[in-house]
Amino acid sequence: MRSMEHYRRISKSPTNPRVKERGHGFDVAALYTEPVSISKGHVGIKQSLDEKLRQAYFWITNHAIISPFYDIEYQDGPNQRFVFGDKKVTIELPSGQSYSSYVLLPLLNLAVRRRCLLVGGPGRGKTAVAILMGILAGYGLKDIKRAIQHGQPQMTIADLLGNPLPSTLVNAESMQDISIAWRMWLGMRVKIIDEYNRIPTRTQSALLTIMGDNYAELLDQVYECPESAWYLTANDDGGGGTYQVIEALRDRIDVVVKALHFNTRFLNELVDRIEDKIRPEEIVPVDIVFQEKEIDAMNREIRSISISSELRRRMEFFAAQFEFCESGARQLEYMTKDTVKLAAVDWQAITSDATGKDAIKDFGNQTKNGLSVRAMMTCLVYVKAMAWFRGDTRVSYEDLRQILPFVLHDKLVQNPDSPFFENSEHKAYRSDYISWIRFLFDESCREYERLDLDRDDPVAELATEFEKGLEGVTEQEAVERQVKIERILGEWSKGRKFYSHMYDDILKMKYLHQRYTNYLRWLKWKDA
Amino acid sequence: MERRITGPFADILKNDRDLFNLKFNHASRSDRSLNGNDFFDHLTGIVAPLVNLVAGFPNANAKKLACSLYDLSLALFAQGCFGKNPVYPEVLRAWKELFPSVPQFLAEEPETLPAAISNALINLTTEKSGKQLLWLDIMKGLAPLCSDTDTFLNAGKTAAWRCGMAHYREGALEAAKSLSPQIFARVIGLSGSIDSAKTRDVLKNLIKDPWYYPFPLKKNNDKSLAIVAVGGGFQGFGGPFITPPSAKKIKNMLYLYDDEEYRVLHADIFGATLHRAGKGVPKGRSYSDKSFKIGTDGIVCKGNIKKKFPKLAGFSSAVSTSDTLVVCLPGSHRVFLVAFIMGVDNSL
Repeated sequence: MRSMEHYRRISKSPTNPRVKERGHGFDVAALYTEPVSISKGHVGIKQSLDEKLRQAYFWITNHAIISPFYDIEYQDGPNQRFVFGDKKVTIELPSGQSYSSYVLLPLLNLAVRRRCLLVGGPGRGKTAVAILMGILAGYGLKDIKRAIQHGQPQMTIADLLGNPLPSTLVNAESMQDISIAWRMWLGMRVKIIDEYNRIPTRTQSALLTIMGDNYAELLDQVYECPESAWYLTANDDGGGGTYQVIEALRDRIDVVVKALHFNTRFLNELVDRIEDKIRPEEIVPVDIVFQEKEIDAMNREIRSISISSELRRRMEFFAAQFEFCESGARQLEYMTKDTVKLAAVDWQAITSDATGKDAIKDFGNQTKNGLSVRAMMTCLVYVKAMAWFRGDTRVSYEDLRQILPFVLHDKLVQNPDSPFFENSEHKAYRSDYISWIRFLFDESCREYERLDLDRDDPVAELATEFEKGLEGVTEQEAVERQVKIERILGEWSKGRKFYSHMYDDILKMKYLHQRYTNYLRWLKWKDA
Repeated sequence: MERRITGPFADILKNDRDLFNLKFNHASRSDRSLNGNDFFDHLTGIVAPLVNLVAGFPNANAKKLACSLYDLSLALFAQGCFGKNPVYPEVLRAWKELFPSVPQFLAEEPETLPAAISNALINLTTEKSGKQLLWLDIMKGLAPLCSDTDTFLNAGKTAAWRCGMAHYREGALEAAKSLSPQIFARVIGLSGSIDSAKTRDVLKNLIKDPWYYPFPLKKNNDKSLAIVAVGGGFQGFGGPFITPPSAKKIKNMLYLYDDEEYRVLHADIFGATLHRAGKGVPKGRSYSDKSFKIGTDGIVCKGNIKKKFPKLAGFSSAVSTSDTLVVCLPGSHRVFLVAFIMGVDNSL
């Protein structure tokens, strides 16, 4: 029998010991306010919010959700590797602090207040994770349980949003006179939709308005919802629930987390819980519960995390690989997968032309779509959150590499007919999207480095030159810059295949060329 | 002899015995070194006399002070300020010597003041300026001069800068503007007759020139180029650098970096501090001011003024702001600061 204290214990030592970098601004007020914090009626050791979130992470993994997985791997120096079986499965023992995505990503979602989908078979703790997030956000267990929206085939918009008050409905002379009894969950900062793929399509549309635009509408009455962290659960993320999930709703989901299986070596933990009559959601330590203003502050701190231009360029290069579809149109601007999709023509018929491009280096053919602005913004938010969680002030390459797959999991639509997946080594990527996207990112970075784009990026140079402004640029200089663009395009067109990553670069050069053309016309008009 | 807590503090403890015991139990769970006897000694020897002293003041909230000192004591035990072999013995000294001399301020700000003073001493000690006792002395001297807690704490900010916290220069000088001439003179350590014109001039000069020397000069009044500070050092001997550092100026800030990381340098007449700035190159354009020039022979020029510093010959990197030249040497973990300054012994 274990004591209640055992289950409530949280890490007292720093969870990620490292020396905190100081910002470059020094405020003399800090002389008196650190390290012991002073607030009305409370004195204690000042604890940073990232440390508190890490404590919450370790408490959940140690005492609440048995998730002994470290699929988000960080290395801190050399690590050990082992190869198993005929298929050469590589097992790496991470040398840095690594994490379980199943617990970490919902926590990051709480901090950034976005939308997280938990997928996996029944009984794997998806709803339990969502409930824990609600409790960490400061809600009582009863309130959270009452606020969970359980998806079911008969769910109506009224079930989801609320009902008009009968008395006002009877006496109303206009729509404005109707009062709505809005459902309590709409006002909460943690929203849980259980089995969202069992909600009828019509009700899904109402849910989409709340998720996308943060308000609910019923009988011309509008309820403005606060910014909140969403947790949706589904037994099958492929849309195979009772109802097909509408695409717009799927697109609103920012991050997808898979519930991993139960490791039977940890059965003793379950035995202890039964014997001790412990339910983790009932014993969350108060020290890891966040106040509303703390969640606001976390959000602010996360947004201030910087991302270096070198890293941003790698992400640009990666994202540029997906939209281009050479055979989708005759005009450059329309050579996108979106053109093919909107035309509703057979995907195979359009894309089956042999282009002679290397299927690994040009991996645009592995997807049926490109990345939306929303997807890229979501990536940036979560990678910043990851860096912040680890106590860093700027995003690292590994943060990007680890987080991208979870954000793009539901956003990149795989083209299973791509010749890439025929290769026996790549077959597993048809079902393991996380490894597939990570593989694509690794390959993209390898190609970026092979092209030496950090040092030799003519488009970046042209853009930098243009960003300095056109004021004072002479006619001769403008013409020279145009010639430079024409020369680069000329060089690129000689014998080089039209790889996906070149598409955005060529469009950018066309844009710059046009801006100089307009500028030259203006100069001539001015002189005339 | 039996130790006993008496007076108003004893009543406060008695009335809320359960709450105080709970707080102690909670703290002892996270701080295994917290010893009941040491804590009791601290309460009887230091906290009780303070609470009983302040309780006698009109409008004093003895209970608030007792709770605040009790909570703060638990937090400071965890920080290693109290108990056997304290890491920050100056904090204990402040509780014993400074707090009894400012009962009116403790009555006024029972929650803020004790924590603020303790924090300041921890920060001064961490900075390794070695002047935390000087700060404590200045604060003791300021107690009778200050009319309220705000003035007292404001003066403490300027005093911290005066005691070597160069990174607080801007805020400290801003705080100094609101101080009376007597308080400002006491903080800076000006001697002789104090009048507002004189202190105003000193403050103006300190704002204008980080290397302005505010004290009477023994030798000459002429300004000359001099090595004004030598900092850094090898990590193995308690310094900050693992390899000989190099210098860079980015966005008007001076940085020193070794193979491991960047550190931002702040320096003026009262001291120099280095703070970690991360492993990556700080954001911004890197450039050096043209105010100072240094040759490989160690000759430093500022305008028409030249001076040879043989020990700086063959330097590995040098950058300057308009008033300070930072020089690093190839085989040394030390960093040399050169400035145009009045009345400093050049043999530094």
